Amino acid sequence: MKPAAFEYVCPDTLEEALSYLDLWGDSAKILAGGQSLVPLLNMRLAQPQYIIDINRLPGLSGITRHPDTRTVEIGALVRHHQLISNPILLAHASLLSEAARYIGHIAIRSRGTIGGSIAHADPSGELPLAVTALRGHLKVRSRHSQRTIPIEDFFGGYYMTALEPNELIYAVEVLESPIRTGCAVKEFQRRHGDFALASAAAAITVDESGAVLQARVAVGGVAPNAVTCSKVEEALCGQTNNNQFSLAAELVAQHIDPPEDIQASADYRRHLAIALAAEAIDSAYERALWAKEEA
Amino acid sequence: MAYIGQRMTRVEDERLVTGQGQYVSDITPSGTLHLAVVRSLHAHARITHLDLSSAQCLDGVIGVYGPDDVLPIMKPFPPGMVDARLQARMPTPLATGRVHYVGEPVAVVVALSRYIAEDAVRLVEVNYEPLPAVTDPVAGEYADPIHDGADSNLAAEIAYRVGAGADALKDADLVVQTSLRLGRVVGHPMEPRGIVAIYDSEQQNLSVYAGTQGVHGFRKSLADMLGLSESRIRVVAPDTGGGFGLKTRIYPEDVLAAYLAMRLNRPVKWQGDRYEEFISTNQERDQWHRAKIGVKRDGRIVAVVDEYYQDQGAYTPSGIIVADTTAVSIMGPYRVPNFEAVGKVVVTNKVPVGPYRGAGRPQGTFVMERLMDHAADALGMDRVQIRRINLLTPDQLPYQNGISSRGALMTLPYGEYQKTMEQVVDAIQYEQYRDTVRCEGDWRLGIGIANYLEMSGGVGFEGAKMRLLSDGRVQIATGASGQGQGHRTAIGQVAADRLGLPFEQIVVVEGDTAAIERGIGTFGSRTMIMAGNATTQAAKGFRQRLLAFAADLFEASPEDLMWQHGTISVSGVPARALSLAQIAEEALTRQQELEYEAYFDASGPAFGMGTHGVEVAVNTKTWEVKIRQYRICHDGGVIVNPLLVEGQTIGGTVQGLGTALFEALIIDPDSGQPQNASFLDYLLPGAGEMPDFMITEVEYPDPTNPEGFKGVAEGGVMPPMAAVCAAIEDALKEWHVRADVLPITPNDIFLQVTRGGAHETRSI
Ligand SMILES: Cc1cc2nc3c(=O)[nH]c(=O)nc-3n(C[C@H](O)[C@H](O)[C@H](O)COP(=O)(O)OP(=O)(O)OC[C@H]3O[C@@H](n4cnc5c(N)ncnc54)[C@H](O)[C@@H]3O)c2cc1C
Repeated sequence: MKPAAFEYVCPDTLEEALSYLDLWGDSAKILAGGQSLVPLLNMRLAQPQYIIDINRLPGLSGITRHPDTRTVEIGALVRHHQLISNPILLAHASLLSEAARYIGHIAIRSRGTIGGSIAHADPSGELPLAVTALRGHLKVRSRHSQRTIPIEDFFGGYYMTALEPNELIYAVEVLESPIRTGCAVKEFQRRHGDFALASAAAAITVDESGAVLQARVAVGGVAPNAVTCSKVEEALCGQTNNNQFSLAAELVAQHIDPPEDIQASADYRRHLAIALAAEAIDSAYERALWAKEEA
Repeated sequence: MAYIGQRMTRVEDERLVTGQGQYVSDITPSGTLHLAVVRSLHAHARITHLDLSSAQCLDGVIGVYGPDDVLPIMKPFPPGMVDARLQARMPTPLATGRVHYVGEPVAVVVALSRYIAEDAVRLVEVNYEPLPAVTDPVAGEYADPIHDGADSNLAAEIAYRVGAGADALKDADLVVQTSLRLGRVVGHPMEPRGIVAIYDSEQQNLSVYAGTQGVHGFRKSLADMLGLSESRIRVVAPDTGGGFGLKTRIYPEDVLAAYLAMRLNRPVKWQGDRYEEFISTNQERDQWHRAKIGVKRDGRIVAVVDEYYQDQGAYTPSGIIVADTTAVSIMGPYRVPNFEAVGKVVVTNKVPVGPYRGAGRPQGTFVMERLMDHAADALGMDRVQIRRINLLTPDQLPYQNGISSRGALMTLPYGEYQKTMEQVVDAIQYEQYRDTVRCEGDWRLGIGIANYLEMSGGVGFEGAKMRLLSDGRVQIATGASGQGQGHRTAIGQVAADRLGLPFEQIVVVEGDTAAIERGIGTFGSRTMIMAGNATTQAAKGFRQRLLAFAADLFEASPEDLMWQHGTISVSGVPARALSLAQIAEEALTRQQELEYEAYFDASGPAFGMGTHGVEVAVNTKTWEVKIRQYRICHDGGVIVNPLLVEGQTIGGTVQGLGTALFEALIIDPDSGQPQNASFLDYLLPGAGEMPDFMITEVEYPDPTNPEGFKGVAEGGVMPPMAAVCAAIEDALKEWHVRADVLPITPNDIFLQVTRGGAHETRSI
């Protein structure tokens, strides 16, 4: 459990980090919170020649609201625990706060970063799930260019992403939730702090009468990456009652073909995904109604 | 004074919780070289080629060694426990020609650092010609032998018969049969195995620091393997972070490190890591049972019959102790007039099985308690009621159940088993519960009760050597080295009482062959029985020794002396008195060692009966199982320190709950590859999954030893599996869920509910 030798750099500026990345490409790994990378290094499942520690980079740790574009931008180095209590997120993108609560244990939440979590692309990751549900975007830079990748184009299978070897995520961007929105995440873990066997996220917006105006639903842990469930979302629109919600949640099955492994059978994962989606939808809807009362 | 019975906090703790403990991994003498092991990647294969050259060329590598390079130690380990029923399969320190499990040592690297050693491990080229892996003990019995020269994979067959055995089933009104499985559990002490070996070439002495449960046995095995006299070896067990039986025996890495330290004349250290714990340290449980119980209509047991297989893994490092103890433990605290058990120990291509907390007791208990539940269900009788009917009663005790174990008939001493069980039945409100609502939202509630009979100690001897230190404190050395139990506290309590000294005046040292000549070690819940009674014996002799010495000083006869509060005085002449410190001073000037050594020999095992009761909640959407309440009542014999006893009981229970609900190393049936050899997906229960435990104790002194002590370290781990399974079945009656295969997981429950009936699924 000792990592293979590597060279370690800890640049002070984004430009410097990007030029290292440009130079070393595939043979380098970015180190953010280290909560996924360091175990991989210790087990020698990853053996990069270079480690580029980005923890000192300025400007990657903020959470900002842009009222003009109605977006919220979260710097790649924002730690999981910050997501939980950040007032901007709680007011305008609370799905991220809800999701972050479920990540690992307190030590992991205080180090792990949103950029690292998205780049690592764990099929059960809570932040990939929430950002997927919200149809977020990733702001990515390399030494000479910069682009914005919609999350639905970002993941490419288990632990795979569309990032080029010389690219770095510097921010995650999501649309502000409309008024009268409620958010909820539900998941099933074998033990406290474990990765979820299955998880579901829902953000529900209601109109003034309390009927569903817009729904965002995604499930995690049941496919190589988080899956948006557009059929469920469509079925929810205009609905007001729990029976209809459960029927809508059943449609999750049409979006997934879960894997079978030593943790769970495919049927069980499918069953969980549907049950959790139904719970997340119920709970998000209830919160949307509270938000309506307050509005 | 009576320290015995007090809830004293542990003298060990201040050092340990402030990070001042010294574990093997903290010990790195200057010039230490680090060893890493090249391990088999295959469960079963022939090694066709081994090339060490590229590894040897790496900077910082001192040497790379295959079997041909360490010929003097390439002999099979001495059999752990000799038994006429066993054809032992013992490994050599490195595999020769053939590998038998994923993780078996193939070669070793010694380098300037563990980092470099691990780099070099990856440069060793091993070519394998894979062979079919034997992964199932039932089919494996008749598969091609996995060991060269063996004629089958059956290493031992165990048979017990009491009364008319299986023939008595015909007298039963009802016979219930069930198949039971217990998963392969990895013991996981907090501290992985490790060793530092230091050779003094001038004196030709070898010193070894190893986290072992028995320094003397370790020294003996090391001496045998190295061809060195025991007198040239000193073994020290420094602070040791848990053992649970896994650290009772010597392992290949120990011999390799010691041998190479001598050969290279430099300290050599091997500190195993967590992955190595998963693929090289003995594992346990892993049994398949087909059990039957015959009962009368009124619930009385007519006969219990069990056929079982021990999936032994590749070798028999501790003989058949686990499989044998299983059979011996089945009847438990019940009157079973007819009994038959036939167990087959089959070698397979997996990590070897060796004792892990309980060593067969949990398996035996699981069998019996599951049979009781299924018999009650089939009779339409309450599950507690069938136990009431069959528990041995005070007037039947002491009782010989007809099993002869290690040469003696098992004799269960006096106890009030019903009373113990009823304490738990009442505490968990079993009766009220049965008539009330059993739902809370999506949760179904269920309750389970399981009994057990804890067998402890009973073999060999253990010693205590008392010595007066120059400051007047008394040092007690014992060969029973602990791994976190709190022996220094508990033995100190016994010594303080028996010497009539303040507790603070006692110092206990353990885990050092230089401190006491002979010893066996800490396992099988034996230390308080063995070392505790040896302490009592030694105290007697030690007092006499000191009185005789003082008598000389006072020119009085020993009978005229008084021993009080650490002072010896002449009766009736209080002015003529010497404190132990003064006596120590006198001894120093007269160049006399004031010491006394006593050894206590076991006359047979102690037995204590106990009951666990658990309430679970099962979620009918996710099939998650939560433990809501946990009640324990057990017989601790004469309890030296209730705090330590409760710690042992809770610790064991948590491990039992792990086996029940979470833990199992999943081995791919075709390849023999472990599928979850890391804490990412081998699920140890955490504090968050565990309930608060409510424990009460009863104290029936054990007749096998003067102090009346009983072992208490394995009781906790025996019944949780059966109790939890019973509670789950109770909660999910509506779906007829059957919890006979461990661990029982949400996925398994889901599959039973949706597909109907029990499935032999394996998941974690
Ligand atoms: C015991 C334990 C339990 C956990 N439980 C959970 C859980 O329940 N749910 C969950 O979601 N996660 C869990 N995690 C993982 C945790 O959330 C990680 O923090 C996260 O997945 C990775 O974030 P990090 O900042 O630590 O990234 P690192 O480990 O530093 O990096 C991870 C990967 O992302 C790359 N990377 C990092 N930052 C960037 C960037 N800005 N741009 C491009 N690439 C980048 C790295 O090169 C590396 O490949 C757990 C971890 C542990 C140790």
